[in-house]
Amino acid sequence: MKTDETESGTENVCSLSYLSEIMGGKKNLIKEIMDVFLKQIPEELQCINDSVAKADYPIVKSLAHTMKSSVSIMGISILGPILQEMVDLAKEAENIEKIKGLNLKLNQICMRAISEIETAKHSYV
Amino acid sequence: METEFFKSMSPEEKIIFIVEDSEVYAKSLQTFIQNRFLDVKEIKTFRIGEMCLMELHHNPCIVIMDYFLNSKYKAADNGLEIIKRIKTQRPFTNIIVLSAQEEVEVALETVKQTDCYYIRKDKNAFNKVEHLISQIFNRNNFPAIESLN
Repeated sequence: MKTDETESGTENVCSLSYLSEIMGGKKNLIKEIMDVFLKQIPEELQCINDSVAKADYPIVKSLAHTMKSSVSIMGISILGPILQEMVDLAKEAENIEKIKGLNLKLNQICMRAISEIETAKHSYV
Repeated sequence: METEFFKSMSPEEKIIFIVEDSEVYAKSLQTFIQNRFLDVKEIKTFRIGEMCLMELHHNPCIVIMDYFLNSKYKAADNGLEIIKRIKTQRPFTNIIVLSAQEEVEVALETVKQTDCYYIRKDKNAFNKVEHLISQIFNRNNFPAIESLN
């Protein structure tokens, strides 16, 4: 299945066509947004990891919600359902073990996305 | 259901505020609007609604905001509270609420309560924002709520 292949590393997690479209194909602008992403995502991951460790459900919910917007720009569609499930579980303030599992996936996929974007950025100089 | 009512843009200067706690999304939207509307004087972005309220004296003609704000700021007000406060201070400000699909009902309730516009945060959101801004700038009539079908 596509998702499994993506998670196991056989295809890219990012699809940059949306970003390119909204930036009108302008390379300097695309690179600018990539730079914001590369700065923001590690900060957000750190915050969400801390919140999950403390089982701070309201913050997990809010951060997962914010990250949905961030990753949508980079076309990381595989993260949509994962983040939504984190939002839903955190909203009910339950099943921290499940949230931890989802958070692990989130971290793994974000690390791959960061790597892909760092590589792709060279094409947009 | 679509409700139609009329807006007119009063200021000569086109100033847009974006209130969005995802910096990537905010910067993307800001850049997108800058590219599409070259005569816009200024587009400011804010991570929390309170910061936007402090700058309302700049008289933005449009405020675009995510309904669910405040990811990292527990004490900050939510989107609805911020919208109400903007409308109290600047009743003629055009407010565009961006919201994810799963929040449609609550966002539509906000639209009804506060006389603002709603756009679902999906792949067409930026184009819909462009369309709406264009209509506001051209003082055309337009629906308050996008078609949900």
